[in-house]
Amino acid sequence: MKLGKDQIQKMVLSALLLAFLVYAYFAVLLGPLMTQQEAVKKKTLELTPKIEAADKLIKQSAANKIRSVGAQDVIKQLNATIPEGAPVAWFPPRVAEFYKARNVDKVTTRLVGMTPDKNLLGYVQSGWSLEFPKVEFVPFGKALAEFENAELLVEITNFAIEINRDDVESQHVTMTLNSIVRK
Amino acid sequence: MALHLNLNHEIERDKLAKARDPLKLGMMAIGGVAAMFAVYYIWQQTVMHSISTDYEQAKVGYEKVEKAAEAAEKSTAELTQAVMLSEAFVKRIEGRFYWASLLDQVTKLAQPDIQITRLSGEVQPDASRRCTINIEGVSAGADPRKTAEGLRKSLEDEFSKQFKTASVTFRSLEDGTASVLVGGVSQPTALYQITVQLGMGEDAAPKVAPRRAKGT
Repeated sequence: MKLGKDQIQKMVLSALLLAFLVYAYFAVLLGPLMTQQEAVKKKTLELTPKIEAADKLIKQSAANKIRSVGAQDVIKQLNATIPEGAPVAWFPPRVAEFYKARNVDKVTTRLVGMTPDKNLLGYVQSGWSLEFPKVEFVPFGKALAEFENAELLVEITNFAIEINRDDVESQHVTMTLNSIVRK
Repeated sequence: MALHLNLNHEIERDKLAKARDPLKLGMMAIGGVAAMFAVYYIWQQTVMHSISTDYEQAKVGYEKVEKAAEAAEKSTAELTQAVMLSEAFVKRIEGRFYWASLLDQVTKLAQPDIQITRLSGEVQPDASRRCTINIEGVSAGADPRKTAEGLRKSLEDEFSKQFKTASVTFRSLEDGTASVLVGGVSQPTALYQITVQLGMGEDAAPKVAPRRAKGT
């Protein structure tokens, strides 16, 4: 069958239209859609490790919370033993009352200084000098033991006990101690 | 033979030509391809919708956990600080040196022929937690130096059991000029000064092994 000129022109026109359709489809419709799909897939994949990391952090926090309950209780209990206000206003009367209740009447308490403690953020070490001019050894020893056990934030760093020159039955005691107080 | 004349041949030829029109066939083919493309495109749109939904869900989920994670991070920092603070407190409290206990031990070890006139001591605030104690007094007895040595030895034995390192040495030991009555008997005296060094910290110096005498 021989094709006429008119038919050949129509075939070429059809081929051109088909080519245009294919080009337009891939360039305008499918191409951008596939690019968009890839981008969204990539974003989703990027979110996955972030979500996993966040989940891990939340779980760690929950575990830490359980572990820190004891620690927070310790801090709460210790904080309860530190009164509000300037230490010089409450520490000397507290020491005097403690020893007076145990028949050790005379005690002089002086503030020596305040030094920060790098391990205890939010707290400072207050240094105190205590002098007991006249004590009886046994009651004083008992009172001292109770003081050391009751005052958990107090540490005696210097201690001296000696016989009184004018009364050999009594002793003279001096000590320096550090007490933790709030900043 | 009968003669058959087709008088409609022109009409039929036109019909056939119309049916085989390349433009018409081409349009049909293009229409078919376009339909397939449309179906594939719609399917891809569905896939895209599914992917977008997944992404949106992931995004919403992430926004939710992100806030919780930020709060958790903050909380973790606070909790860690609380744990460290608590550990520091506990370490400090447990690492304290108890002077009443020391006085009790020294008093128990001092025999009736020993008098302690002064006891003083100091704890180093650094990590070594070394404690130095000076004990001064008077010993009495037939051999007052031996009495003082007995006190030194018993102090060393007692503290060695209790502390990482314990060293008890005489700083001085001199004959006293006065005599004292012990159990109604006048006995000579000696004046002693004993230095006790106790190691409590983690980095306290290790105990020095006693040297062996040659030939043993």
